[in-house]
Amino acid sequence: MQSPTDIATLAATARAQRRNVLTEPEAKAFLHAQGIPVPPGRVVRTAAEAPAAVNAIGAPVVVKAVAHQLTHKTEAGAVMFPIDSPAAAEAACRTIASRVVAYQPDIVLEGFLVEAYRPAQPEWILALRNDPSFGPVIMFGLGGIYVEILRQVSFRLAPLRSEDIEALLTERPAMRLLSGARGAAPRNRRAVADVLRRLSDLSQQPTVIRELSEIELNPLAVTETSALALDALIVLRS
Amino acid sequence: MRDLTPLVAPRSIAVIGASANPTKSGGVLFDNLVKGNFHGPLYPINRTATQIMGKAAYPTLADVPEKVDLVYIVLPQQHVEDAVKQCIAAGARAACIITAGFSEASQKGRGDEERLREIARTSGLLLAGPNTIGMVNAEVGMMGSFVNFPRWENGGVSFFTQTGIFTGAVMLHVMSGATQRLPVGKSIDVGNKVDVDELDFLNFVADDPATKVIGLYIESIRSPREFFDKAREVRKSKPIVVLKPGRTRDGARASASHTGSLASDNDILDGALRQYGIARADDEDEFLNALRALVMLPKPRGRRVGIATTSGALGVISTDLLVENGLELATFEPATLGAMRAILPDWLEPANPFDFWISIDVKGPREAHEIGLTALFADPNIDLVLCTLLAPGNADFPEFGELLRHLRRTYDKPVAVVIYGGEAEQRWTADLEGADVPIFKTTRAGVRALSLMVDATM
Repeated sequence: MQSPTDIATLAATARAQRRNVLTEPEAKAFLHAQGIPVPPGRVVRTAAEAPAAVNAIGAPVVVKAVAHQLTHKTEAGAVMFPIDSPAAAEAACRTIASRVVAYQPDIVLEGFLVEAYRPAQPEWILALRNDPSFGPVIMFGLGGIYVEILRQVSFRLAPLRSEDIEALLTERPAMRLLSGARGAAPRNRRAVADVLRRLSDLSQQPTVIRELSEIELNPLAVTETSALALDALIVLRS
Repeated sequence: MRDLTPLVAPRSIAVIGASANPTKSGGVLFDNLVKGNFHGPLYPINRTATQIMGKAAYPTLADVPEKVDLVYIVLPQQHVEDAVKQCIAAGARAACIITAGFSEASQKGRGDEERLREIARTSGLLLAGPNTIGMVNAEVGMMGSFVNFPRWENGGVSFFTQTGIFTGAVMLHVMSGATQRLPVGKSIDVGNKVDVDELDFLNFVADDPATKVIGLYIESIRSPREFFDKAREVRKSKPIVVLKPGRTRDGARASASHTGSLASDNDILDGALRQYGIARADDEDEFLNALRALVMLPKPRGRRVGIATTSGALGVISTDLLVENGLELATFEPATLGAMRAILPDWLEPANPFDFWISIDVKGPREAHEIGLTALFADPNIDLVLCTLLAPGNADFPEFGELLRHLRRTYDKPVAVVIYGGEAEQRWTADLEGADVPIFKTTRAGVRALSLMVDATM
């Protein structure tokens, strides 16, 4: 199951299915094609196919449900990690399937996303939003479950100049965590800057602006060497 | 792009609703225009009077012998729309509706205002208001307001406000002498902003040689992209300070994404203001202080502050505030340290903040201040000087004002002065009248003014 990577096709498919949100594999296929790093992964249709995917990717992995109607995967218990073996991945798929049905009985499960597991500590959030009054804006900040409470995020109008990227990476106190805190090595700010630049470039593509209302990378893992979108939400314009 | 000249700097003005009655808004407004010595002809429009304030009155706008540039409309709400249509029929180029009772008042008023918007849009009439105290352009003697401003001081600040009475109160405050005065050349209050907006205003002041500094009180930005693009260009020569309330309004909304619930208009605007180099004041005091600093002082070359103080406590308070507001403590040049050592006892090593209270005992107040302050003004590592000074009897000296004037002229460096204590405080303040040295009531006020100044210019 290989997703198309051009936004017009993805959007048309989604609209034909009466949904305004791309699935995670669709969103990641698109982002990957745009040069935004995502973990290596595969979509499998059944639990039985999961072990082969783990062998191909390498353990540990994370297993997530794929379903059009499922927008809150964590709440549904549809994400399991870290999974250390092919057999455990198959079992995880079956567990997730039963949880999802219990959470939302009418759901149509299309399969499972098996991805290389990458820890993210702390979690970052990075988004391009097509705002109704300001037009394309870019947000960066500290992600995680308390993002709305801590509000360690900053906005800039797109497109971004290099000084805007620098400001986004330094404006809030939490962004000092990128420099490494409590003995941690400094994180790769240049990799984050690169993702910001790519989102900024996307904001200037007419098709993207016509079709999308939001691209949210959350969480974005930022390590010493890379920035990686562990989850991605793409919302179409209604 | 529309030219606001007929509205802001008209060659002729008519007032529909002008009267000889000084208790009515139309009476006061016309009286203010006459007494302000408006540079062009004034036409009072009144059905019954033949003359108002010595000016020939006309029963309708159509009877006026020329096409006027600007018409003030000061009528009961139900007659406003008809008056606007008369303006268009008579070939007027701009109108300012003083009358309230539109979108700010009721659902019906909202509908009435929408129709005015449509009329303005289709006719091309420049429309300001409704619900405004009016407009002042001191350059052409237009005191077009129902508020009386007896002490208005012309100057390089241009205001755009989107509010009712607030502008009037603020202007009375700055003209009252309760604080240092603020020289305002133009004050354009568009009230409910039915038509003329902040982008039109920016386009106008961009080419207005009299405008040096721009203050905007706005509740919304109609076309954010165009506004910010223009602002980036204008700020290069004319710094902009914005007062935009609603920082704490709950921006949260139901959303499929975190981004959607985080992206409040206020947060995006805050980022955009930083991005485009526009200073954002938190309240009316900061707003006026920042404008005062910007209109009085040269542009800072950096954000490194040298603090001169005669109070260790004020020095530490200043340091906290500077750092919290994104400014930096300067590192003194060796020459500066040398000059400072000359007025300190051997056992005391000078540092930033430079506390020279002890020098007052050693050298006397005049010499201590002169050497201490000169050292800071002369240091090339210092971009901005903050003086937090105590003025009890033993620190007082008659030449304080003269010293500050001399330093301000000689070094052309931004400076903020805070003075505490004693009857000298008032005299020092008075001695600095007209010296382009801004004085602030508190350390916080002074630091915020410097910080906003840096935001607006760097």
